[in-house]
Formats: sequence, structure tokens, C-alpha cells
Amino acid sequence: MNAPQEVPSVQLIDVTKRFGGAAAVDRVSLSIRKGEFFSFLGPSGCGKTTTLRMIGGLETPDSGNIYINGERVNDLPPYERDVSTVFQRLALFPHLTVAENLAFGLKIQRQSPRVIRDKVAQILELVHLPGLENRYPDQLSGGQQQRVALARSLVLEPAVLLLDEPLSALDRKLRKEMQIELRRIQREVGITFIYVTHDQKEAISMSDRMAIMKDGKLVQVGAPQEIFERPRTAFVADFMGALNLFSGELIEKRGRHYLKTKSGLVIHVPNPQEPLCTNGPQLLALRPEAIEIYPKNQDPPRQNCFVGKVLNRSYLGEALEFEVLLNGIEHVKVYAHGRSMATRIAIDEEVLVRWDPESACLLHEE
Amino acid sequence: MNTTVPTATARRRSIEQGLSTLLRGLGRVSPPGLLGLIYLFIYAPLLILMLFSFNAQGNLAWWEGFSLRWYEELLSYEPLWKSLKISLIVTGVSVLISTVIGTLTAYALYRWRFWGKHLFESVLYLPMYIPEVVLGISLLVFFIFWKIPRGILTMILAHVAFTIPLVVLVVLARMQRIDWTLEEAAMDLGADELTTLRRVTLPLLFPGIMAAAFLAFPWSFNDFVITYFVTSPGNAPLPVLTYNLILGRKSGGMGMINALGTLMTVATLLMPLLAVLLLRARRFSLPGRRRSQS
Repeated sequence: MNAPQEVPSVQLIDVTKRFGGAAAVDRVSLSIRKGEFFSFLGPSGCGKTTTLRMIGGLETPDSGNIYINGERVNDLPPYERDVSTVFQRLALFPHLTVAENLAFGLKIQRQSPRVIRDKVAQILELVHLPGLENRYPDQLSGGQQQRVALARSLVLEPAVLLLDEPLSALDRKLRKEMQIELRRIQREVGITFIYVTHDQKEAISMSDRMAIMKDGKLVQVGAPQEIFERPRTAFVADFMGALNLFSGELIEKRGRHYLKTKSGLVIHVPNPQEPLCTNGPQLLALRPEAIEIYPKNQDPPRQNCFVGKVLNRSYLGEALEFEVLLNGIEHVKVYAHGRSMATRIAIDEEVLVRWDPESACLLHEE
Repeated sequence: MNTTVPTATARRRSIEQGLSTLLRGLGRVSPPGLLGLIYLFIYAPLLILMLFSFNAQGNLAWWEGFSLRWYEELLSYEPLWKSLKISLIVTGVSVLISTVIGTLTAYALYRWRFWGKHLFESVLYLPMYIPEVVLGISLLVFFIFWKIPRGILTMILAHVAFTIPLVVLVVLARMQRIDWTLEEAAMDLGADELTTLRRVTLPLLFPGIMAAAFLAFPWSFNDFVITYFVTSPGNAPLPVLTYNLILGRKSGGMGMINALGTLMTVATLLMPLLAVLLLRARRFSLPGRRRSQS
């Protein structure tokens, strides 16, 4: 889609920001393409918001360079950058009406009143809010305020739109709705969106690409599916919901790879795409929903099948969660569909668990 | 003797009971009535003064009939107008200055960290606790020491000094309720620092600044003790003129004082009313209230 030599929309090179002694953002290098929906994902305090604020000009990096459309912007104040931010707390001006909020940036650009009126009407149409021009922010619902905040930034047609967990204040249903809206709007306007969130489902469903951050560092960058299926580290695996980790030695037998854990389990692992160093301990990540669970009196064990004992069972609504002990040491979390025969399995029962070797993922050491 | 003690106790108890029953009854029948009693207690002296300002004779002892005589005499009393002018100049200028300095001080205290900030802040509010007499004397000594002639200038300086803490307190209270992301948002939307101040910060602070000015105005206008120390005989603002009227035993002085007191009270009452009306205006409603909805 993009010509290879195209200038990146936003480029970070070795960007570092310290607060006090600790590095909030630690030598982050990254390229974001034009028109991309890019997410920074990570737990609170991982540096994702600081990164966003540095792109927006609200913080200055201690070292490294930030480029927007090929121009170095390190020393430009926020009002001289072609970016706009949708803040987590929205920051709508309470003393101005919706129309005045939307016109704020346009007035500073000294646009004519007619242009301003047209653009405001147009943008209200885009975010599905016509007719609310003369309301004040506190007379709007949470979802409407959200849309106004988005519109106030979009109306300036910035090269890059920065969104700092803008949906975190909304309830779940509204958040889902707004996620779809954001995606639609982004496709319609074609602006680069950089989105910060701690909700991995949100990032996965919206982003073209995403970056996982931890302790100020980028851990993994890639398309959501790639990160979801091939997490590189235990942190990413855990963050993406692959809650089961096995550690052990990697062994090879007749062209097949196995992980031999300390407890003696021999787990069939997917054939590695890149050559693996077979010496030293390895980690295998496995999603709870990828595991099948059966009562012990079922069919004889097939490939990659293990005997275990149910320690705990809890109802999660859409699934049943089992905690199974394998070989007396390994704890495994299993999500079973609410209507499978797993519903008959009780605590303390002996069970069989198995999974498709391809659904597990070998991690690179952290 | 033995019998009188219980009787006295019983009597006292019955009086207490009667009183509490009365109060409770009153409170139950009409809480506003009870409240009204309290207000009567606070404001009765003022009401008497206002009432007797319309008395035909210049005394506070008995009612001689309704008349506007004292108001006529007061309004034709030459020194009154001079005093009013002095009062308005002193209060107007000092409130303006202290509002500006106080707002800037509050901004610095709220937004910046600097060495000695805590000490500065606690010392700042001292004038509110120091007895006025002490403050007045110290200002007087200060002016004499620097050989500044007493008059309008010294009054303005003194009034600025004791109204600043009030302004800082009120503006700070407002600042604590402002979402400062709004400043970032303004800059993000293209406003430079000055535009942000003009279009966002000041409008948001405006109610607080106005409230501070409206509170500082009567403080300054009505001040007698401090003013008395730093003024000169020829420059008596209204409170000092009132005092001089009492001292001077001018014929009809009491009646004029009643009339003057009434006018000053009414003017003072109008000030906060004006402030409330101003703050009620829709544009200045406080942010942050909306969040309580969700």
C-alpha cells in the first residue's frame, strides 16, 4: 500500500525520557506509517502515555529524536506541531459551547467565520452529533463528550491524531460502540491515529499495528494477530492472555521438537520458524482456551495429552475456568466452553488435558 | 432548709425543660422560625440602627415619628462626600492591586514549586490572624520609619497588604477545582502561552478572581482600625468619618451616624448579592460538576 521510500508519519529514534532518576521511556525507536492505526499497549506506568505526550510536544525527550513527517520536532512547542491530542480526561473547555470548543483551534488559525461554521457543521456530521452546537460540555453524556473531544481535534485535520486512553471513562457497551466508531472515522479521514491503551482487547480489535511496552521499553511491535499468536516474551504472552507458561529443556527427536519440563512432562512444541538455540531453558506459552479438558474415563490419551487433577473450578460466565495440576507440580489454567462435557467435571477429579502443539508458542527469553 | 434545695433544683429543671420544650416545639413547628430567632439575635442591633435612622429626633431612646431628616442632613454634609471619594479611591485602587498581585501569587503557589514555598504560604496568611491594632501600629511605625507621609497612599498600601491574603485564598480555592489539562489542550489545539492564558486560563479563573475582589472590597471599604492608624486628619474615609462624628458630638451627630450606618450596610449587602448574580451566569458555572453525573 505504501511506497517503500515513503516518509514515516512519526518516527522515534532512541527516545529517552527520565523523571527523577528513573527512565519513563527508555531508548524507544519506532516508525509509524501514514494512515496507520497504531496502538501503544502496556500496563500503567510502562511509559506509553509519556511517549504519546512527547510526540504531542507536552513533554520534551531527554535524548533521542522525534520526527513528524520527516521534520525533527524535538524543540517545537505543541502549538507548532501538526498533531492533536484527545486527552484521557477529554479536557473540553467548560466555559465554551460545543461549537465554540470545536472552533477553538480554527479561530486561532484565523479562519473566516464562514469556513469555521462549515467545518464545525461538517465535523459534527462525521461524529454523528449534529444539533448539539449550543450545548455546554456538562450538558452532554459521556459518549457525546467523547465525540466532541474527538471532533475538536479532527476538525484541525492534523497529520497525526494522538489518543490517550480516551475510552477509559466509558462503560463497557459504550466503549465497544466507540471503538467501532473510531475505526470508522479513522478510515474515513485517513489520518494516522496513535492510540494508547492498557486494554489488550481494545488494541487488538482496533490497531493495524501495535507496540507492547514494559518499563519504558518496547518489548514487541507488530500486527495484533502476530503478537497474539507469537508473543516474544513471557510478559507479552501473559499480557495477551496466554496465562500458562512451561519452562524446560528443548529436545529434538526425529525432526520433532519437545519441551521437557523439570517435572518430567514432555510437551510437543510447534516447529520453530527460526532456528532455536536448543541449549538452556526455554519457555512455552499456552492460552487457557486452547486447552481441551476431558474426564479421565474418556478415550485413551492421544498425542500431547496429560493426566492431571482439578484443583479449582470457577464459573466465568462465558467459560468455565479450571485449575489443573499436572505431574504434581505444573499448574495449568483451562477455559472450557460452558456447554461442553467439562461442565460435569468436579474439583479433585482426575482429568485429561490436551492441546494442539501448534497453539502453543515458544518464547524468546526476556 | 432541706426542702428548699430540691425545690430550687426542681424549679431550675422545670425552667430548663420549659425552655427546651419551647425551642424544640418551635423547631418542630417551624424550623425557619427558629432560624429567624437566631438571625434576629444577630441582626437586631443593626435593625434598631436602621429604624432609628428614620427617627425624627436624634436619639436612640425613643421614637419621635418618621422622618428623612437625617438623610437630608447627611447628604448635605460636605465632609461626607469627600470621605466617600477617599474611601472609593482607596478601596478601588487597593482592591485592584491586591486582586492582581493575589491572583499572580496564587498562580505561583499552585503551579510552581520553589524553595521556601511552604514558609512563604504560611507567612502569607498571617495578616488574617494578627490583631488589627497590631497590624495598624506596625504599619504606622513602618511608614514613619521610611518617612512616608500619611494619607491616601499609605492607606492604599495598608489595604493592599491586608487584602492580598484573602484574594490568594479565594483564587487558590478556585484553582484547585480547575482541570489543568485544559491548558495543555489549548496549546495542543494551536494556542500559544498568551492565547491560552487569555482564552482558557483566565476565563476559568474569572469567577474566583471576581469572588476574591467582591470579598476584598467590603474588607477594605469597611476597615476602621488599620485605616485609622495610617490616615491623616484631612483624609478621613467613611469609617473614620463615622468615628469622628461620634467623637465630635456634632449636633445631630447620632442621627447622621444612624443614616450613614444604614447606607453603608445596604451598600455592603448589595456587594455579595452582585457577586452571586455574576457567578450565577451560565458561562461561569464550575467545571467538574458534570463528572458527578456519570
